[in-house]
Amino acid sequence: MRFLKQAMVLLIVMSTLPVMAADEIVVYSARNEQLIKPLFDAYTAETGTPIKFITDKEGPLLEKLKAEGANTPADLLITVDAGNLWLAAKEGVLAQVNSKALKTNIPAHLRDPDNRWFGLSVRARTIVYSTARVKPSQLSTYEALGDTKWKGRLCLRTSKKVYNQSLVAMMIARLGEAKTEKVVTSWVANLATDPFPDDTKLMEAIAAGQCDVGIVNTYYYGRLKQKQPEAPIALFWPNQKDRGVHVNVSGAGVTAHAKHREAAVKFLEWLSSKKAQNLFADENLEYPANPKIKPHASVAAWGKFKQDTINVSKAGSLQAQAVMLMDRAGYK
Amino acid sequence: MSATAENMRQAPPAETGIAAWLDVNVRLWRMASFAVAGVVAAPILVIALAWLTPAGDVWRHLVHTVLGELLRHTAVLMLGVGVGVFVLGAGLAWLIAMCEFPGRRFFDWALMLPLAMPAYVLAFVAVALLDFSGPVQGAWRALFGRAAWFPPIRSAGGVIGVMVLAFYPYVYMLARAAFLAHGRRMLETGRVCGLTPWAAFARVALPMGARHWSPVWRWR
Repeated sequence: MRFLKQAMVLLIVMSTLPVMAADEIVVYSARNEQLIKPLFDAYTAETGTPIKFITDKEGPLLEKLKAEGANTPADLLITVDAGNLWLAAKEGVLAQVNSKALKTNIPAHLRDPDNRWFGLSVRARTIVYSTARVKPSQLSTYEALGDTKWKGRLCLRTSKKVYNQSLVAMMIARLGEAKTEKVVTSWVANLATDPFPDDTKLMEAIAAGQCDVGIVNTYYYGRLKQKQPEAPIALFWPNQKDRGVHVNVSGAGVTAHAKHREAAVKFLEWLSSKKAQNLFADENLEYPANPKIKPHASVAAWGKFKQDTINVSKAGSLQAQAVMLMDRAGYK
Repeated sequence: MSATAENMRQAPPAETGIAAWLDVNVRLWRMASFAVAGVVAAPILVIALAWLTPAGDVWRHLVHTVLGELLRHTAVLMLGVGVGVFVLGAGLAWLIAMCEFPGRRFFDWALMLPLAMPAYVLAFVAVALLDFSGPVQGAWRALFGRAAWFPPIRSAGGVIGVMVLAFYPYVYMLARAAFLAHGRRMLETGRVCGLTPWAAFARVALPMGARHWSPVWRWR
């Protein structure tokens, strides 16, 4: 009887051993499965480290991490938008990572000043215009979209989308709150129609002639052009003479209670390396965060541009201010 | 002594016993119902309590900026969708239950089918078809010129239209059942007493049917 008990205890202990010993990584991802699965497969093929993951929206994932606390199985959080990464860091679910490789590969403005998260791909939010009714020489800056010459010709996506909240937050950081509010108010005065629910609808409206200019993330433009190469729209890089184009990131951070911290850091370093950067960015027509890596040929064809090098974490710390500013300006 | 007491307890007057038994049970049932309701309501209560969490200045900001418009939109939606589902649901039910026309038997069940369509799916379809860049407005402009006016789908009217089309079957099914249950006899009585067909509908059928299917009457 006693022997049986001992044997059972031994069996139970042994059955947990391989789980603890295996160098697997558990990832919570707000980035779509079809965008991250190829990366995981490539990493597992290269290193033998299995990767488990779940995908969800960023809000539920953050709440899950907070609720699980020290018991979380997650080692790495992957999410989009610097505002979301900033919030995860502020809520204390991400741990500092001091890695030379990450600091070398990822420019300072694309990662947390305290190194709790790192941008892995760059998405530029820029001006899109109708090639039928607008000459690029008529365009200059985000602010200039408030000129009266664009009255009834501007289309914007809803201010509820975090990409626009980040854009306005960065403008507050650069221009100050009063100036930014004037700019946003002048945009609202120029709107051709109510704000759109997504960037694609906005570009379709420009192509159909409802409006002439708008602001979109470049990869939506890339996707639309893949489907409709003849669509009469093109991208314009604004503010090239001053601060540069507003950029945001999708990125990742190691969780505060990671059970496989070392493996997770290694994986994060690999994600910033040459091998992974193209896999990470190209699938979604984004720009690699590592400046040494060239973007996908069809992305590179949109031309080189100067990006705003203010730290993207500002998108988080100024987000509440930005939302309130847009409410006051009547930007729905 | 004790035997007598025992006997008395064993044979109480019948009504009192049942009444007491019921009384205890009613209380039990009520308590059980509240317990179950509490569990069911918990997630909603959590959301309701979340209203208290934003700081005072956030509330002040909302009141100064968007809250008024949001409440106005809510009121317009409630009124518009309420009137819309009433007119469409009860009107169609009346035609199906009281009139005879070709295709009536098909429409009898086909009019319930929109129940299977979630409102947001209908909204996607409506926007894809009817927005400026959609095929309908494209054809419209090709016919009548670039400046031709078309009612905007992304508007209060558009939302009301979509929600009415998604939700009218609830009213339709209940109203149809009510009209069928009452039959024509009461209406014919009304007609014999000198009411026009419309007056018979408004003064006999609607008040009788209303208690069956109008949520307003049901709550009263």
